[in-house]
Amino acid sequence: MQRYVARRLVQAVFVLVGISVVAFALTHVIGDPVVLLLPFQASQAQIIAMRHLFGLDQPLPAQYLAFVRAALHGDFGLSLRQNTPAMSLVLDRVPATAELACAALALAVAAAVPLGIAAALRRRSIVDRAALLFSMIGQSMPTFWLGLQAILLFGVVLRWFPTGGSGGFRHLVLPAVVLGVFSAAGILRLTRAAMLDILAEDYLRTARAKGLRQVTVVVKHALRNASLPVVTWIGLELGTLLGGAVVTETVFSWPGMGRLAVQAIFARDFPVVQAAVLFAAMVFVLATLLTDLMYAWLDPRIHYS
Amino acid sequence: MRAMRIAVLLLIAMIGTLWAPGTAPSQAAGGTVTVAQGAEPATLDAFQEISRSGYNVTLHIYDPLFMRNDAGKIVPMLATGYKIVNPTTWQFTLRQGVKFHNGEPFDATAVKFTFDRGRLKESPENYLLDGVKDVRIVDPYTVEVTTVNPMPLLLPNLMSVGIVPSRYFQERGASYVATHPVGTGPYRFQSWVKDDRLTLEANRDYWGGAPSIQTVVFRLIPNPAARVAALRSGEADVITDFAPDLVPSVANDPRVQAAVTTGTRSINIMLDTGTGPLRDKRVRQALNYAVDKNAIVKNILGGFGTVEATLVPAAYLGFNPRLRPYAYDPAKAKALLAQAGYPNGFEIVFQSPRGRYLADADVSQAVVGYLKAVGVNAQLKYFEWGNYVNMYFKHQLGPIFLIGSGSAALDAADALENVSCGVWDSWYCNPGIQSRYEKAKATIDPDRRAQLYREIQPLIYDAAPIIFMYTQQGIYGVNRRLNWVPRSDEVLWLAKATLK
Repeated sequence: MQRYVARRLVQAVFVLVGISVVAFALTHVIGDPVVLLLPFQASQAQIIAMRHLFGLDQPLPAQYLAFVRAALHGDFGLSLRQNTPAMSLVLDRVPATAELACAALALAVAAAVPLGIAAALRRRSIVDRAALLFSMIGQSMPTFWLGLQAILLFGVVLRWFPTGGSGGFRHLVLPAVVLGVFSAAGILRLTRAAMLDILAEDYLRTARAKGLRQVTVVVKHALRNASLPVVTWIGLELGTLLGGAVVTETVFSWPGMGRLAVQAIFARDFPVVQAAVLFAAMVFVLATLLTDLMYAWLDPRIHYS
Repeated sequence: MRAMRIAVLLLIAMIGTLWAPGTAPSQAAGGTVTVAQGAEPATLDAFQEISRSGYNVTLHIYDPLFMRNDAGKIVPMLATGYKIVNPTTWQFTLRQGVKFHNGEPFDATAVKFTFDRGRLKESPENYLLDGVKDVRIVDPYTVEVTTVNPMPLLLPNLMSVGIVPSRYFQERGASYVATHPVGTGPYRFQSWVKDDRLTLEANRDYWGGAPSIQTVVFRLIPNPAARVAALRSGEADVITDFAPDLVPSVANDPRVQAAVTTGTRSINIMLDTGTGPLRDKRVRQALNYAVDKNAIVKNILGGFGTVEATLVPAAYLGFNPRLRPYAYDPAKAKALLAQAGYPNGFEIVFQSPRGRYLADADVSQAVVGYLKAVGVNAQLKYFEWGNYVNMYFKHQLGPIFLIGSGSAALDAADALENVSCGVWDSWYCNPGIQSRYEKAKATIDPDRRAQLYREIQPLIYDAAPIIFMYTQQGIYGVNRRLNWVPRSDEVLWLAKATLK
């Protein structure tokens, strides 16, 4: 087990190196950040001086090596636009991002898993149809539209919640619900499908036949076995959400990672792009690893060595 | 004798009020005003931040030497006056007894430090001080600035240069100052949750009189509809960049209103006059006649724009009110194209950013439609802004492309540069116009300079090196509890605002 984890972590290093090369190359071919920093009245001399200041006049491989050398010492450079350390800009956004991601996912799981089970148990019933309808709407409705409607209703008309920004619990409700709806839709569908598969298995008929209570049958025998694909999905979803939810963050003015990364890309703020990409990749790698470890816990047949 | 003494005291008091340009310190200040903008400053280092939304914040923290008053006139701030010793030498006298928020005294050292740092080629502000040769401290409250050539724009440019405390800056370093700004301005920096909110507190000791509003919060709300929602829910008192299509949504709301200024950002369609059919003046005039600019402003911008006759808008020094914009006349356009030898039009590439300016993609689409109606088949290509601006700086855009421009100095020179010779951001050159332009922009007297600019514009109008389009109006949403009106230079300035 420990060896497995160690091996996965070593693999992760290679993944991160690969990602940093790709991210570095991609960001540097999409254009020069200097002209985005300067007004149109700027002179050529000014452009040249600024490119030199940022080291952008060096050949690309030399720039990459300099980046790696500094990164190994924990220095990801200064943001070209904000002139503050790039990695701390990213890390500053971790609490807000994690808060939103965890709240949204917790809401989604709390709503979607029971609903998915209920839908599977009462197939073709009104519950099932309602659940499927919700799932379809949840996945196809654009998040920004749902977000704006929620802001208008609960923020402007009813005044129950603030229209945006971060702060206390009240600020979190609307974005978490809106972001949760989308995740819930997927989890619901998957739970339902997995449960339907399992419920048709022979061992469940046996369990019922030997007189076990319905709750025991569903929770202990069916759900545990149906949970593998659901856990995978949730793990990947968590990884994605921790990388930032750009649309929700934008609509609700939530100071999260997604917007930071996207703005850095638009501004060609290379150090911030690098830091954000590497951080997101690391989170994703860890989330995947955790998911794999969850398998072994949920299904004793699975062993890692 | 006693009457005499009272008279003297009164006189001193009067001089005192004259000396301080602001109103007397207001009574009990209080309250919080929240401003919601679509972007926040990248940094609070006065040298680095040049965006409009950033400037709206930094101007509350840092005072410049000069600023415009509400009527648009240049008035002294940290300077008390200036003297033009000779065309390349300016002497500025500085306000005495002013302290930075950290207690550091304001004097000539701070001014020299600020200007010298701004002049560095690595500073984004460099373009404002590019022509400055030397900054010399004459005495603690007098600074002499010499320029390479006569530099009439020095004064208006200085309005964008906030003065920083030299000792604080040198001790702490630029990276620290970027998030811990210290100036002499009407508000002190309090806190900043990046990508969310930035809080300023009134500077009770402000030399111009303490502001009436105690706390100003700048919130970042990137989505235009969410910004309007924040205004309507009372969370924001002022919003900037009010989307025209959302303005009607507050028409029946008694608590808020839309406020409009003439605007400082011009949108134009540049023509590369060095290639193909665009070399012919008649073709360029035809393109101007072909586009119904009034319809574009009315239907796409909801009427919140002003069609311009040239690329110099009304807010700039040198605007020529006598020129009428090209009329919409497709028949005349076709006739001109036929005269120029293109009775069946021609094919050409039209480039446009998408999402940079208000409704830019829609405007480009509409223009392409109008061109097609007179036979000019323009192939429309959209670009993401970062790409676009890279192409712009490399002179790779064209032959037809849409671009916006503005002038911090609100001076025609900045606009006319786009049609001048020998610079990378121009696609037109006419030696006759060039000599007049150079003479105009070297003229220090503003009235004389404006006159020269006005004389150039009929020539530019006739040469039509651009499809002259429109100036975007500045649209704000304002809560009625606030006494504040937007300024024509689009600087959001709350030091004199009050709550009802």
